[in-house]
Amino acid sequence: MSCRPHWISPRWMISALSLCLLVLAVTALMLGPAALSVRQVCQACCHAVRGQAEYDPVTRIVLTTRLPRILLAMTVGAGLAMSGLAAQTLLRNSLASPYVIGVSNGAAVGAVAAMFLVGKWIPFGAVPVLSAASGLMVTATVFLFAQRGRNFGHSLLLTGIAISAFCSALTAGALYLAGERLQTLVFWLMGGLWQATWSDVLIMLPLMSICLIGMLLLAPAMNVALAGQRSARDLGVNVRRLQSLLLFFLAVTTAVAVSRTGVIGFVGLIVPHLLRLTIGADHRGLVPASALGGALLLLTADTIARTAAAPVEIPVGILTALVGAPTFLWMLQYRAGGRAGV
Amino acid sequence: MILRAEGVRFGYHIDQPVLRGITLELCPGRVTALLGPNGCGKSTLLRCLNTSLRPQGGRILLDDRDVMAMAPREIARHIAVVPQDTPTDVPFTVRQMIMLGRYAHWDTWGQEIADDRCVIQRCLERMDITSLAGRLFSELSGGERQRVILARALAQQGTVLLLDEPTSHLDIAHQLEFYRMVRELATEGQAVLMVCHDIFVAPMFVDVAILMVDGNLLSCGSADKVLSEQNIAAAYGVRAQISRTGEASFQAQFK
Repeated sequence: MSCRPHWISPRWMISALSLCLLVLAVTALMLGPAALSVRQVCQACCHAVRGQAEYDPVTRIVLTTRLPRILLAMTVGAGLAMSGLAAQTLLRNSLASPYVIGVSNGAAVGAVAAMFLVGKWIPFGAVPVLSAASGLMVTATVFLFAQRGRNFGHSLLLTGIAISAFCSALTAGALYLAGERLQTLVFWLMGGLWQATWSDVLIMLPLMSICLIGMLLLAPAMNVALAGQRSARDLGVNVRRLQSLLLFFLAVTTAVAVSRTGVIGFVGLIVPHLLRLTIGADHRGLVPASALGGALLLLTADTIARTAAAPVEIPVGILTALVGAPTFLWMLQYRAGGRAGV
Repeated sequence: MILRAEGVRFGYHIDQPVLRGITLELCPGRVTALLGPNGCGKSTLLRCLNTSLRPQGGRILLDDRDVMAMAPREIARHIAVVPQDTPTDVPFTVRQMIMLGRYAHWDTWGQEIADDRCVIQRCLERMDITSLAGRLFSELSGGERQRVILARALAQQGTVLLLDEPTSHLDIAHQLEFYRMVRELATEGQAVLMVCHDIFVAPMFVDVAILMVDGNLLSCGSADKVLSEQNIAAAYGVRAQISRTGEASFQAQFK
């Protein structure tokens, strides 16, 4: 009987994912309404570095339209996948996603409320700020309620579900009353990256980096946390501190990501889960691999979303689920053939 | 190192004390059995000893240092626990599982060092599970799992070992083997406390027995002395007739 797991070495996986991501990023720079060659893309990059961006049209396309969008897709994808991993470890449940604790529904309520107020009391630029703030407030509420429970993971999940339901009822009510604003709201809720600007990237990139470094530092403790809450304490982990930090990273990254790009589903669920099946559950490899995998998945989905049915754009949230769900099922079946999943 | 509890009190609810002032001492080289009926507070006491439950009164001292003032990490470097139940759905191999025992010794980045690998190898050999090292923890049998958890506790390289009903899922052969291993560990200098329900086999392997009833210590001393007919009647409400056959083994008939 062979019970040895068939895991791929995390180092190998991380190198492969990095390479794929690099190739895909260059490809994505080339694709679009104006197709560019590799040479043009390289030249544009050189121009940009030398500070001659204004005069060359190709450089302007690359710099102002495509590059911020690609970088935003990568950072949001990485952030969502890492948040998903944090949620799965925090709840010891591989079916958890970053949205399960109510961040996304909270952010949606904030955004929908803000859109009603836009033009009357607040400028349009305030929508993401209100959205992120409301996502964070909802998570903080969930955290405060869950802290009273004896089993923190359980209470967190239950409180999250309850408060999420409350928030989605508010959102649904708002949609019902939206009138001519309905399409804007629905489009936002579906998630997409068509509004990507450098300012989005400048917010997401540092945030994602902090999240990555923080979770790399927590990786050994996250490993121990998988052995169960009590065992983790016995083995020397300050469990409450670990949980609070993970929840903090998860909430901030997800709330800001959702406020910039809407609710993009499935990345946070599928990426850490599939990687855990492929490289094992050691978080020291799983954290960077998830970040890369999330970036890769969202960049792929977004590139397809903007090129497949051009000039019409498919909301990327629809694509991630359409492509992600069958892949996920196939992987689960494939793994179950050899051995039971996690 | 000597682990001492002085007047430890604890209750999950304010008006229902579970531990009513427990004082005991665990010394290196000795195996202590903690006996008593269900719900008398044995496991709670064990969890108070490494402060994963914070005692509400009294002190826990490790060679005169206050354990309650120590960080979880530092405690784990001295006191290892084998819990009653371990989640079995842990997606780790046996080697990774034992590696978790090294957490308290790691630096910030969690880099494994050569020393870690040596310790793990020694623990694997010590528990005779080298052949299982690459297997998944979730696919082991109950007996194998218990050995892995004990190996993980050894990887902590502490001096105090707390075992919470470690043999409850094991058959008699594995129980005997487990007790022998624990006995050996004590001989090598560990201070061992073992919570158990087994008043027949376990006493053959222990130096000190402690009988607990309703949050208090009823009796403390050698197993022969503690497991007397009166004490068994007082603790468990069972009338027993005890006859000693050999040096350390004893038989009991229940009525």
